[in-house]
Amino acid sequence: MIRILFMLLWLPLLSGFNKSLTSGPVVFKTTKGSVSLVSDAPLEVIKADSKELRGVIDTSNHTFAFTVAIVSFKGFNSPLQREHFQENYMESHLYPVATFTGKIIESVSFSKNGIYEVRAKGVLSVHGVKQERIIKGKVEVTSTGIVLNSEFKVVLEDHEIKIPRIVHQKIAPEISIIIEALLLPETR
Amino acid sequence: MRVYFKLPFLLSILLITAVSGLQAQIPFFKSVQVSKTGVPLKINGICQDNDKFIWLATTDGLYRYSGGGFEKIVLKETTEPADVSSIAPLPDGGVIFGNRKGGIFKFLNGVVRAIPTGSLVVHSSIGGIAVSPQHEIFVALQGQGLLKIAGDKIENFTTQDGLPDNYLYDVAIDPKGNLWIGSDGGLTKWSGLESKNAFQNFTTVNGLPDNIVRRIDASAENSIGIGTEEGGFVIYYPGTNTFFIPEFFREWSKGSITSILKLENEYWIGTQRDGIVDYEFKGYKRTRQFTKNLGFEGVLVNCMLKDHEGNIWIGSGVNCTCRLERKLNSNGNLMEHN
Repeated sequence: MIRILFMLLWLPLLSGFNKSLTSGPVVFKTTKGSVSLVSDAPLEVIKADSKELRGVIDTSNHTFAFTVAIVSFKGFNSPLQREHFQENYMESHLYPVATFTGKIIESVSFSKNGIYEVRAKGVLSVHGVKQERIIKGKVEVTSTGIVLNSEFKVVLEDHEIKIPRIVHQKIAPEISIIIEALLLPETR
Repeated sequence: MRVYFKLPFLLSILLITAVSGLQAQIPFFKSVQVSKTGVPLKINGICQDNDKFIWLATTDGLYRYSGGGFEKIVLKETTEPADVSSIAPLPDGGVIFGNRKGGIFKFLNGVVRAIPTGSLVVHSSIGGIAVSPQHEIFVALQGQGLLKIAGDKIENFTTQDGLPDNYLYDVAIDPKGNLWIGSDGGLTKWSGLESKNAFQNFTTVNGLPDNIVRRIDASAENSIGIGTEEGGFVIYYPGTNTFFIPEFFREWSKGSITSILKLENEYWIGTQRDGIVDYEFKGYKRTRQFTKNLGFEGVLVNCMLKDHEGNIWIGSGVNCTCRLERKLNSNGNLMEHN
Protein backbone atom coordinates (compact mmCIF):
# COMPACT_ATOMS: atom_id res chain seq x y z
CA MET A 1 0.00 0.00 0.00
CA ILE A 2 2.77 2.39 0.97
CA ARG A 3 4.60 1.47 -2.22
CA ILE A 4 1.47 2.29 -4.29
CA LEU A 5 1.05 5.66 -2.54
CA PHE A 6 4.70 6.44 -3.10
CA MET A 7 4.35 5.65 -6.79
CA LEU A 8 1.19 7.79 -7.08
CA LEU A 9 3.01 10.72 -5.49
CA TRP A 10 5.79 10.47 -8.02
CA LEU A 11 3.60 9.96 -11.07
CA PRO A 12 3.08 13.66 -11.81
CA LEU A 13 6.76 14.28 -11.59
CA LEU A 14 7.57 11.45 -13.95
CA SER A 15 5.24 12.71 -16.64
CA GLY A 16 4.32 15.93 -18.40
CA PHE A 17 6.24 19.06 -17.70
CA ASN A 18 9.14 17.83 -15.68
CA LYS A 19 9.69 14.90 -17.94
CA SER A 20 9.61 17.12 -20.99
CA LEU A 21 12.00 19.64 -19.54
CA THR A 22 14.64 17.10 -18.78
CA SER A 23 14.15 15.16 -21.96
CA GLY A 24 14.95 17.94 -24.40
CA PRO A 25 13.11 20.48 -26.48
CA VAL A 26 9.53 21.20 -25.64
CA VAL A 27 6.78 23.32 -27.01
CA PHE A 28 4.74 25.56 -24.69
CA LYS A 29 1.24 26.63 -25.65
CA THR A 30 -1.59 28.82 -24.51
CA THR A 31 -5.10 29.38 -25.79
CA LYS A 32 -6.28 31.60 -22.97
CA GLY A 33 -3.74 34.39 -22.79
CA SER A 34 -4.82 37.92 -22.05
CA VAL A 35 -4.33 40.99 -24.23
CA SER A 36 -5.40 44.33 -22.79
CA LEU A 37 -5.40 47.59 -24.66
CA VAL A 38 -5.63 51.10 -23.30
CA SER A 39 -6.18 54.27 -25.29
CA ASP A 40 -5.44 57.24 -23.05
CA ALA A 41 -6.56 60.32 -24.99
CA PRO A 42 -7.18 63.82 -23.62
CA LEU A 43 -10.96 63.44 -23.62
CA GLU A 44 -11.45 59.74 -23.05
CA VAL A 45 -9.82 56.61 -21.72
CA ILE A 46 -10.81 53.42 -23.51
CA LYS A 47 -10.04 49.97 -22.15
CA ALA A 48 -10.68 46.61 -23.72
CA ASP A 49 -9.30 43.12 -23.48
CA SER A 50 -9.32 39.68 -24.97
CA LYS A 51 -8.84 36.43 -23.09
CA GLU A 52 -8.29 34.49 -26.26
CA LEU A 53 -4.63 35.04 -27.00
CA ARG A 54 -3.26 31.88 -28.56
CA GLY A 55 0.44 31.28 -28.70
CA VAL A 56 3.30 28.87 -28.79
CA ILE A 57 6.97 29.02 -27.81
CA ASP A 58 9.40 26.47 -29.16
CA THR A 59 12.20 26.33 -26.62
CA SER A 60 14.45 24.35 -28.93
CA ASN A 61 15.08 27.36 -31.11
CA HIS A 62 13.61 30.22 -29.05
CA THR A 63 10.93 30.93 -31.64
CA PHE A 64 7.35 31.93 -30.93
CA ALA A 65 4.04 32.72 -32.60
CA PHE A 66 1.04 34.49 -31.09
CA THR A 67 -2.32 35.41 -32.51
CA VAL A 68 -5.48 37.04 -31.23
CA ALA A 69 -8.82 37.44 -32.96
CA ILE A 70 -9.88 41.08 -33.19
CA VAL A 71 -13.53 40.18 -32.56
CA SER A 72 -12.59 38.67 -29.21
CA PHE A 73 -11.90 42.11 -27.68
CA LYS A 74 -14.49 43.13 -25.13
CA GLY A 75 -14.91 46.07 -22.84
CA PHE A 76 -14.91 49.59 -24.31
CA ASN A 77 -17.10 52.39 -23.00
CA SER A 78 -20.15 51.48 -25.05
CA PRO A 79 -21.37 48.84 -27.52
CA LEU A 80 -21.23 51.46 -30.27
CA GLN A 81 -17.57 52.16 -29.48
CA ARG A 82 -16.80 48.43 -29.76
CA GLU A 83 -18.58 48.34 -33.09
CA HIS A 84 -16.51 51.26 -34.35
CA PHE A 85 -13.33 49.54 -33.14
CA GLN A 86 -14.20 46.30 -34.91
CA GLU A 87 -15.63 47.62 -38.14
CA ASN A 88 -14.22 51.07 -38.80
CA TYR A 89 -10.77 51.14 -37.24
CA MET A 90 -9.55 47.54 -37.16
CA GLU A 91 -11.69 46.40 -40.09
CA SER A 92 -11.91 42.95 -38.57
CA HIS A 93 -13.86 41.62 -41.54
CA LEU A 94 -10.75 42.23 -43.66
CA TYR A 95 -8.07 41.64 -41.04
CA PRO A 96 -9.55 39.21 -38.51
CA VAL A 97 -6.40 38.59 -36.45
CA ALA A 98 -3.34 40.36 -35.07
CA THR A 99 -0.19 38.25 -34.97
CA PHE A 100 3.35 38.42 -33.63
CA THR A 101 5.87 35.82 -34.76
CA GLY A 102 9.61 35.74 -34.26
CA LYS A 103 12.30 34.72 -31.84
CA ILE A 104 13.56 35.49 -28.36
CA ILE A 105 16.90 37.27 -28.56
CA GLU A 106 18.21 36.60 -25.08
CA SER A 107 19.33 33.22 -23.92
CA VAL A 108 16.75 31.64 -21.60
CA SER A 109 17.26 28.40 -19.74
CA PHE A 110 13.81 26.89 -20.02
CA SER A 111 14.89 23.91 -17.94
CA LYS A 112 15.61 26.05 -14.91
CA ASN A 113 13.09 28.01 -12.87
CA GLY A 114 13.79 31.73 -12.93
CA ILE A 115 12.81 35.13 -14.21
CA TYR A 116 14.34 36.45 -17.42
CA GLU A 117 14.10 39.90 -18.97
CA VAL A 118 14.01 39.24 -22.68
CA ARG A 119 13.51 40.90 -26.04
CA ALA A 120 11.19 39.29 -28.51
CA LYS A 121 12.02 40.18 -32.07
CA GLY A 122 9.61 39.52 -34.83
CA VAL A 123 6.95 40.72 -37.18
CA LEU A 124 3.89 42.31 -35.64
CA SER A 125 0.94 42.23 -37.99
CA VAL A 126 -1.97 44.48 -37.06
CA HIS A 127 -4.65 45.64 -39.47
CA GLY A 128 -2.85 43.70 -42.18
CA VAL A 129 0.25 45.89 -41.91
CA LYS A 130 3.45 44.17 -40.85
CA GLN A 131 6.07 45.90 -38.73
CA GLU A 132 9.35 44.51 -37.52
CA ARG A 133 9.39 45.01 -33.77
CA ILE A 134 11.60 44.29 -30.82
CA ILE A 135 9.33 43.99 -27.80
CA LYS A 136 10.59 43.71 -24.25
CA GLY A 137 9.02 41.29 -21.85
CA LYS A 138 9.48 39.11 -18.83
CA VAL A 139 9.62 35.34 -19.03
CA GLU A 140 9.19 33.42 -15.81
CA VAL A 141 9.97 29.74 -15.95
CA THR A 142 8.06 27.95 -13.21
CA SER A 143 7.37 24.35 -12.37
CA THR A 144 3.96 24.75 -14.03
CA GLY A 145 5.00 26.38 -17.27
CA ILE A 146 6.11 29.71 -18.69
CA VAL A 147 4.54 32.93 -17.47
CA LEU A 148 4.81 35.71 -20.00
CA ASN A 149 4.34 39.42 -19.29
CA SER A 150 4.88 42.30 -21.65
CA GLU A 151 3.84 45.90 -22.11
CA PHE A 152 4.38 47.80 -25.31
CA LYS A 153 2.82 50.38 -27.56
CA VAL A 154 1.28 50.15 -30.99
CA VAL A 155 1.32 53.31 -33.07
CA LEU A 156 -1.89 53.44 -35.08
CA GLU A 157 -0.24 55.26 -37.96
CA ASP A 158 2.39 52.49 -38.28
CA HIS A 159 -0.41 50.05 -39.07
CA GLU A 160 -2.43 52.39 -41.25
CA ILE A 161 -5.29 52.54 -38.80
CA LYS A 162 -7.08 55.75 -39.65
CA ILE A 163 -8.93 57.69 -36.99
CA PRO A 164 -11.43 60.36 -38.08
CA ARG A 165 -10.33 63.87 -37.17
CA ILE A 166 -13.51 64.41 -35.18
CA VAL A 167 -12.47 61.77 -32.59
CA HIS A 168 -8.75 62.64 -32.45
CA GLN A 169 -9.15 63.94 -28.91
CA LYS A 170 -10.86 60.70 -27.87
CA ILE A 171 -8.51 58.11 -29.31
CA ALA A 172 -4.80 58.11 -28.54
CA PRO A 173 -2.35 57.82 -31.47
CA GLU A 174 -0.43 55.23 -29.46
CA ILE A 175 -2.27 52.33 -27.87
CA SER A 176 -0.78 50.62 -24.82
CA ILE A 177 -0.85 46.84 -24.97
CA ILE A 178 -0.45 44.54 -21.98
CA ILE A 179 0.13 40.82 -22.48
CA GLU A 180 -0.24 38.17 -19.81
CA ALA A 181 -0.11 34.48 -20.56
CA LEU A 182 0.65 31.15 -18.99
CA LEU A 183 2.05 28.72 -21.52
CA LEU A 184 1.87 25.07 -20.62
CA PRO A 185 4.22 22.38 -21.92
CA GLU A 186 3.26 20.11 -24.72
CA THR A 187 5.66 17.35 -25.55
CA ARG A 188 6.23 16.89 -29.25
CA MET B 1 39.83 107.50 -19.86
CA ARG B 2 41.23 106.17 -23.12
CA VAL B 3 42.40 103.06 -21.30
CA TYR B 4 38.83 102.33 -20.11
CA PHE B 5 37.61 102.50 -23.71
CA LYS B 6 40.39 100.35 -25.08
CA LEU B 7 40.04 97.46 -22.62
CA PRO B 8 36.40 96.52 -23.43
CA PHE B 9 37.21 96.99 -27.11
CA LEU B 10 40.14 94.59 -26.95
CA LEU B 11 38.13 92.10 -24.89
CA SER B 12 35.33 92.24 -27.46
CA ILE B 13 37.77 91.56 -30.28
CA LEU B 14 39.17 88.61 -28.34
CA LEU B 15 35.69 87.28 -27.65
CA ILE B 16 34.57 87.59 -31.26
CA THR B 17 37.74 85.85 -32.42
CA ALA B 18 37.21 83.04 -29.94
CA VAL B 19 33.56 82.60 -30.91
CA SER B 20 34.44 82.63 -34.60
CA GLY B 21 37.02 79.97 -33.94
CA LEU B 22 34.48 77.81 -32.17
CA GLN B 23 31.92 78.24 -34.92
CA ALA B 24 34.43 77.22 -37.53
CA GLN B 25 34.79 73.89 -35.74
CA ILE B 26 31.09 73.16 -35.86
CA PRO B 27 30.06 71.59 -39.15
CA PHE B 28 27.27 73.33 -40.97
CA PHE B 29 24.60 71.20 -42.55
CA LYS B 30 22.49 72.02 -45.52
CA SER B 31 19.49 70.06 -46.64
CA VAL B 32 19.35 68.79 -50.19
CA GLN B 33 16.03 67.73 -51.62
CA VAL B 34 16.21 64.28 -53.14
CA SER B 35 12.85 63.74 -54.76
CA LYS B 36 11.80 66.45 -57.19
CA THR B 37 8.24 65.15 -57.20
CA GLY B 38 7.90 65.32 -53.42
CA VAL B 39 7.46 61.56 -53.11
CA PRO B 40 7.96 60.66 -49.45
CA LEU B 41 11.03 58.50 -49.18
CA LYS B 42 13.56 57.24 -46.71
CA ILE B 43 17.26 56.92 -47.52
CA ASN B 44 18.51 53.47 -46.57
CA GLY B 45 22.02 53.51 -47.99
CA ILE B 46 24.57 55.76 -49.64
CA CYS B 47 27.76 55.18 -51.59
CA GLN B 48 30.05 56.71 -54.18
CA ASP B 49 31.13 54.82 -57.28
CA ASN B 50 34.43 54.99 -59.15
CA ASP B 51 33.07 57.73 -61.41
CA LYS B 52 32.37 59.81 -58.26
CA PHE B 53 28.62 59.63 -58.60
CA ILE B 54 26.82 59.63 -55.27
CA TRP B 55 24.16 56.90 -55.10
CA LEU B 56 21.23 56.63 -52.77
CA ALA B 57 19.30 53.49 -51.89
CA THR B 58 15.83 54.67 -50.97
CA THR B 59 12.34 53.40 -50.36
CA ASP B 60 11.53 55.02 -53.70
CA GLY B 61 14.23 53.22 -55.61
CA LEU B 62 17.68 54.33 -56.75
CA TYR B 63 18.78 57.96 -56.95
CA ARG B 64 22.04 59.36 -58.33
CA TYR B 65 23.67 62.74 -57.74
CA SER B 66 25.73 64.05 -60.60
CA GLY B 67 26.49 67.59 -59.49
CA GLY B 68 23.34 69.47 -60.30
CA GLY B 69 20.91 67.49 -58.25
CA PHE B 70 19.47 64.07 -57.75
CA GLU B 71 17.89 62.08 -60.51
CA LYS B 72 15.86 58.96 -60.06
CA ILE B 73 17.26 56.03 -61.97
CA VAL B 74 14.40 54.47 -63.87
CA LEU B 75 15.09 50.81 -64.22
CA LYS B 76 13.43 49.56 -67.35
CA GLU B 77 14.85 46.07 -67.14
CA THR B 78 12.98 45.10 -64.03
CA THR B 79 10.30 46.31 -61.70
CA GLU B 80 11.89 44.66 -58.70
CA PRO B 81 14.33 47.21 -57.23
CA ALA B 82 11.74 49.42 -55.47
CA ASP B 83 12.49 49.90 -51.77
CA VAL B 84 16.23 49.54 -52.14
CA SER B 85 17.65 48.66 -48.74
CA SER B 86 21.40 48.50 -49.33
CA ILE B 87 24.00 49.64 -51.84
CA ALA B 88 27.76 49.31 -52.34
CA PRO B 89 30.26 50.37 -55.02
CA LEU B 90 31.82 47.78 -57.27
CA PRO B 91 35.63 47.80 -57.66
CA ASP B 92 35.45 48.19 -61.45
CA GLY B 93 32.69 50.78 -61.50
CA GLY B 94 28.96 50.74 -61.04
CA VAL B 95 27.11 49.68 -57.95
CA ILE B 96 25.49 46.61 -56.47
CA PHE B 97 22.27 46.97 -54.56
CA GLY B 98 19.60 44.92 -52.84
CA ASN B 99 16.01 45.46 -51.89
CA ARG B 100 13.57 44.47 -49.16
CA LYS B 101 12.22 41.58 -51.20
CA GLY B 102 15.56 39.86 -51.48
CA GLY B 103 16.48 40.99 -54.97
CA ILE B 104 20.16 41.68 -55.66
CA PHE B 105 21.11 43.73 -58.69
CA LYS B 106 24.10 45.23 -60.42
CA PHE B 107 24.05 48.61 -62.18
CA LEU B 108 26.90 48.91 -64.63
CA ASN B 109 27.23 51.01 -67.78
CA GLY B 110 23.61 52.07 -67.61
CA VAL B 111 22.28 48.52 -67.45
CA VAL B 112 20.66 46.77 -64.51
CA ARG B 113 21.07 43.05 -64.15
CA ALA B 114 19.65 40.78 -61.48
CA ILE B 115 22.39 38.78 -59.78
CA PRO B 116 21.52 35.08 -59.71
CA THR B 117 21.59 33.39 -56.30
CA GLY B 118 21.76 29.81 -57.51
CA SER B 119 19.49 27.35 -55.78
CA LEU B 120 18.91 29.73 -52.88
CA VAL B 121 15.63 31.60 -53.20
CA VAL B 122 16.32 34.82 -51.32
CA HIS B 123 13.17 36.15 -49.72
CA SER B 124 14.85 38.12 -46.94
CA SER B 125 15.50 41.82 -46.97
CA ILE B 126 19.07 42.71 -47.90
CA GLY B 127 20.74 44.12 -44.78
CA GLY B 128 24.19 45.05 -46.03
CA ILE B 129 26.56 44.40 -48.91
CA ALA B 130 30.37 44.29 -48.93
CA VAL B 131 32.62 43.72 -51.92
CA SER B 132 36.18 42.51 -51.47
CA PRO B 133 39.07 43.71 -53.66
CA GLN B 134 38.95 40.21 -55.20
CA HIS B 135 35.40 40.98 -56.38
CA GLU B 136 33.77 38.60 -53.90
CA ILE B 137 30.34 39.86 -52.91
CA PHE B 138 29.05 39.32 -49.38
CA VAL B 139 25.40 39.95 -48.65
CA ALA B 140 23.80 40.10 -45.20
CA LEU B 141 20.38 38.47 -45.45
CA GLN B 142 17.84 39.37 -42.80
CA GLY B 143 16.71 35.84 -42.04
CA GLN B 144 18.76 33.59 -44.32
CA GLY B 145 22.33 34.09 -43.16
CA LEU B 146 25.26 35.15 -45.31
CA LEU B 147 25.38 34.97 -49.08
CA LYS B 148 28.76 34.84 -50.81
CA ILE B 149 28.93 35.37 -54.55
CA ALA B 150 32.27 34.82 -56.24
CA GLY B 151 31.76 34.76 -59.98
CA ASP B 152 29.49 31.81 -60.68
CA LYS B 153 30.09 30.28 -57.28
CA ILE B 154 27.30 31.01 -54.83
CA GLU B 155 27.42 29.94 -51.20
CA ASN B 156 25.03 30.42 -48.34
CA PHE B 157 26.23 30.28 -44.73
CA THR B 158 23.83 29.90 -41.84
CA THR B 159 23.79 28.88 -38.20
CA GLN B 160 24.55 25.36 -39.38
CA ASP B 161 27.92 26.65 -40.55
CA GLY B 162 28.70 28.45 -37.31
CA LEU B 163 26.95 31.80 -37.61
CA PRO B 164 25.29 32.74 -34.31
CA ASP B 165 22.07 33.81 -36.02
CA ASN B 166 20.57 33.91 -39.49
CA TYR B 167 19.29 37.46 -39.17
CA LEU B 168 22.18 39.61 -40.36
CA TYR B 169 22.16 43.39 -40.38
CA ASP B 170 25.53 44.37 -41.78
CA VAL B 171 28.76 43.11 -43.30
CA ALA B 172 32.08 44.90 -43.64
CA ILE B 173 35.58 43.97 -44.79
CA ASP B 174 38.57 45.34 -42.88
CA PRO B 175 41.89 46.38 -44.50
CA LYS B 176 43.37 42.99 -43.59
CA GLY B 177 40.67 41.15 -45.50
CA ASN B 178 38.63 39.88 -42.56
CA LEU B 179 34.87 39.89 -42.91
CA TRP B 180 32.85 41.29 -40.00
CA ILE B 181 29.20 40.44 -39.57
CA GLY B 182 26.58 42.02 -37.33
CA SER B 183 23.55 39.94 -36.41
CA ASP B 184 20.99 39.23 -33.72
CA GLY B 185 23.61 36.92 -32.24
CA GLY B 186 26.39 39.46 -31.77
CA LEU B 187 29.53 40.27 -33.76
CA THR B 188 31.16 37.69 -35.99
CA LYS B 189 34.61 37.69 -37.54
CA TRP B 190 35.39 35.54 -40.53
CA SER B 191 39.13 35.23 -40.97
CA GLY B 192 40.31 34.01 -44.28
CA LEU B 193 37.34 34.42 -46.54
CA GLU B 194 37.93 31.12 -48.23
CA SER B 195 37.56 29.19 -44.99
CA LYS B 196 34.01 28.01 -44.45
CA ASN B 197 34.03 27.06 -40.81
CA ALA B 198 36.09 29.81 -39.23
CA PHE B 199 33.41 32.04 -37.79
CA GLN B 200 34.52 33.65 -34.54
CA ASN B 201 31.58 34.97 -32.56
CA PHE B 202 31.58 37.72 -29.93
CA THR B 203 28.67 38.32 -27.56
CA THR B 204 27.95 40.10 -24.29
CA VAL B 205 30.03 37.41 -22.63
CA ASN B 206 33.06 38.84 -24.45
CA GLY B 207 32.28 42.46 -23.65
CA LEU B 208 29.72 43.53 -26.24
CA PRO B 209 27.11 45.78 -24.60
CA ASP B 210 24.30 44.15 -26.61
CA ASN B 211 23.96 41.05 -28.76
CA ILE B 212 22.06 42.82 -31.50
CA VAL B 213 24.76 44.34 -33.73
CA ARG B 214 23.22 46.61 -36.33
CA ARG B 215 26.14 48.49 -37.87
CA ILE B 216 29.84 47.87 -38.42
CA ASP B 217 32.62 50.17 -39.61
CA ALA B 218 35.73 48.15 -40.41
CA SER B 219 37.60 50.81 -42.36
CA ALA B 220 40.27 51.39 -39.69
CA GLU B 221 43.45 49.35 -39.50
CA ASN B 222 43.27 48.28 -35.87
CA SER B 223 39.75 48.90 -34.63
CA ILE B 224 36.19 48.01 -35.50
CA GLY B 225 33.36 50.44 -34.81
CA ILE B 226 30.19 48.66 -33.75
CA GLY B 227 26.67 50.01 -33.40
CA THR B 228 24.23 48.01 -31.32
CA GLU B 229 20.49 47.96 -30.80
CA GLU B 230 20.37 49.12 -27.19
CA GLY B 231 23.97 49.24 -25.99
CA GLY B 232 25.05 52.21 -28.08
CA PHE B 233 28.44 52.39 -29.78
CA VAL B 234 31.47 50.29 -28.92
CA ILE B 235 34.95 49.88 -30.40
CA TYR B 236 36.55 46.48 -30.73
CA TYR B 237 40.34 46.24 -30.79
CA PRO B 238 41.32 42.91 -32.42
CA GLY B 239 44.95 43.31 -31.37
CA THR B 240 44.10 43.12 -27.69
CA ASN B 241 40.76 41.35 -28.11
CA THR B 242 39.03 44.03 -26.04
CA PHE B 243 35.85 46.06 -26.35
CA PHE B 244 35.86 49.73 -25.36
CA ILE B 245 32.64 51.62 -24.71
CA PRO B 246 33.15 55.43 -24.84
CA GLU B 247 31.87 57.09 -21.68
CA PHE B 248 29.06 58.86 -23.53
CA PHE B 249 27.52 55.51 -24.45
CA ARG B 250 27.85 53.76 -21.11
CA GLU B 251 24.34 54.79 -20.03
CA TRP B 252 22.92 54.86 -23.54
CA SER B 253 19.12 54.87 -23.78
CA LYS B 254 18.38 56.57 -27.07
CA GLY B 255 17.66 53.67 -29.36
CA SER B 256 19.72 51.81 -31.85
CA ILE B 257 22.86 52.95 -33.65
CA THR B 258 21.86 53.20 -37.27
CA SER B 259 25.09 54.24 -38.99
CA ILE B 260 28.80 54.75 -38.35
CA LEU B 261 31.30 56.92 -40.21
CA LYS B 262 34.97 56.70 -39.32
CA LEU B 263 36.92 59.91 -39.90
CA GLU B 264 40.57 60.61 -39.21
CA ASN B 265 40.27 61.38 -35.51
CA GLU B 266 36.65 60.74 -34.81
CA TYR B 267 33.63 58.56 -35.33
CA TRP B 268 30.34 60.05 -36.43
CA ILE B 269 27.64 57.84 -35.03
CA GLY B 270 24.14 58.06 -36.45
CA THR B 271 21.33 57.29 -34.04
CA GLN B 272 17.75 56.19 -34.29
CA ARG B 273 16.21 59.30 -32.77
CA ASP B 274 18.89 61.67 -31.58
CA GLY B 275 20.83 62.86 -34.58
CA ILE B 276 24.57 62.31 -34.76
CA VAL B 277 27.07 61.76 -31.98
CA ASP B 278 30.59 62.92 -32.82
CA TYR B 279 33.09 60.95 -30.77
CA GLU B 280 36.66 62.22 -31.07
CA PHE B 281 39.11 59.61 -29.92
CA LYS B 282 42.14 61.77 -30.76
CA GLY B 283 42.80 65.50 -30.60
CA TYR B 284 40.14 67.14 -28.42
CA LYS B 285 38.95 63.72 -27.23
CA ARG B 286 35.47 65.08 -26.78
CA THR B 287 31.97 63.97 -27.59
CA ARG B 288 29.52 66.32 -29.29
CA GLN B 289 26.01 65.92 -30.58
CA PHE B 290 24.60 67.34 -33.77
CA THR B 291 20.95 67.51 -32.86
CA LYS B 292 18.31 70.21 -32.77
CA ASN B 293 20.79 73.07 -33.16
CA LEU B 294 21.64 71.65 -36.56
CA GLY B 295 18.28 70.25 -37.48
CA PHE B 296 18.90 66.65 -36.49
CA GLU B 297 16.72 66.22 -33.44
CA GLY B 298 14.33 63.36 -33.78
CA VAL B 299 15.78 62.42 -37.11
CA LEU B 300 16.81 58.91 -37.88
CA VAL B 301 20.30 58.97 -39.39
CA ASN B 302 20.33 55.91 -41.61
CA CYS B 303 23.61 56.22 -43.45
CA MET B 304 26.68 58.42 -43.86
CA LEU B 305 29.43 58.75 -46.42
CA LYS B 306 32.59 60.76 -46.76
CA ASP B 307 33.05 61.27 -50.48
CA HIS B 308 36.29 61.57 -52.44
CA GLU B 309 36.26 65.35 -52.02
CA GLY B 310 35.80 65.32 -48.27
CA ASN B 311 32.12 66.13 -48.12
CA ILE B 312 30.06 64.24 -45.63
CA TRP B 313 26.70 63.03 -46.84
CA ILE B 314 24.02 62.00 -44.43
CA GLY B 315 20.97 60.07 -45.44
CA SER B 316 18.06 60.29 -43.10
CA GLY B 317 14.34 60.09 -43.14
CA VAL B 318 11.35 59.87 -40.89
CA ASN B 319 8.01 59.39 -42.54
CA CYS B 320 7.78 61.99 -45.26
CA THR B 321 10.95 63.82 -44.26
CA CYS B 322 14.02 63.19 -46.30
CA ARG B 323 17.16 65.17 -46.15
CA LEU B 324 20.62 64.80 -47.47
CA GLU B 325 23.22 67.02 -45.92
CA ARG B 326 26.55 68.22 -47.20
CA LYS B 327 29.34 69.60 -45.13
CA LEU B 328 30.67 73.02 -46.06
CA ASN B 329 34.33 73.73 -46.34
CA SER B 330 36.20 75.89 -43.86
CA ASN B 331 35.30 79.07 -45.78
CA GLY B 332 31.62 78.36 -45.41
CA ASN B 333 31.15 77.58 -49.08
CA LEU B 334 29.18 74.64 -50.33
CA MET B 335 31.59 72.06 -51.69
CA GLU B 336 30.25 71.17 -55.10
CA HIS B 337 30.87 68.02 -57.04
CA ASN B 338 31.98 67.82 -60.60
